[in-house]
Amino acid sequence: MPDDRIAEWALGLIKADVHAFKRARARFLRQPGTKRLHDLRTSARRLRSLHEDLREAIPPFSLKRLRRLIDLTGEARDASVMREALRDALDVRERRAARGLLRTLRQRERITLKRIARALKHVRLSQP
Amino acid sequence: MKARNIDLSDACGVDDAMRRIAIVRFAEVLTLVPALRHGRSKDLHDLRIACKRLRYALESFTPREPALLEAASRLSQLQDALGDLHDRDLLLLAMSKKLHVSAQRIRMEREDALARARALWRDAFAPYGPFEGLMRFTGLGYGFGDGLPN
Repeated sequence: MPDDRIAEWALGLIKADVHAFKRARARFLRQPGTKRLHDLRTSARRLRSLHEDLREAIPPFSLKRLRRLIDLTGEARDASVMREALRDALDVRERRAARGLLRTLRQRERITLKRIARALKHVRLSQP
Repeated sequence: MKARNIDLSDACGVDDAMRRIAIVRFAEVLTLVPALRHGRSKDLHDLRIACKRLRYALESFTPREPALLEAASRLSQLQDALGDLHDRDLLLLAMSKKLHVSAQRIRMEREDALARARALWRDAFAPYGPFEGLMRFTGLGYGFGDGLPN
């Protein structure tokens, strides 16, 4: 085990990121939207990344459900960004041909947002 | 790409622990940099993930080591460019052949994003450039800014 100063520093960083994640989660659950989804996703990924860096210096705690949430937020974000990029680049002659894909992306985003809201209820991060 | 485990068991204090983490994460980025030369999607995606891990670590360290702030900010820009590229790759995979004119535009946007990422990378290693503090902190990265196409 690393010395106490490192353990204390590592725990402080993790606790700050857990706190940031919980704040982002509460905001998203109050009113889901693109910006709040981005904040939720960023805070979850930041916490996972810090956990990977410091896992030897902190008491073990599971991030299994957080990982699932990160995957879901990635799906929703990809669908939203792809839709926007397609709209921006779409040639006027191909509008009709693009309708199906745009609709699929919109549906995928909507469904995933609902799954995120459900998954968030199961993410219980006990303080390490 | 899975993050490498970092041994902190015999680290001598917080500064040494930060340095060890930064070295491992920066080394992961440097290993993947050839992706900027050949432009393959999977490798560029791995590079983006490695940049993200390094950036998040550096951002956590900046209260104690402000010299890392510029590198974190450059990594964020690099991550954005690589993210734009990745989004175009995903979109191109999902598009049917009927959308060939739009697909051509998206391929051009992808090339723009790659050129942007290359320029950001090259410039990061300039003397007193954004990676100066990170290179000094880790002792890594010297000679890595050269040899990329425009």
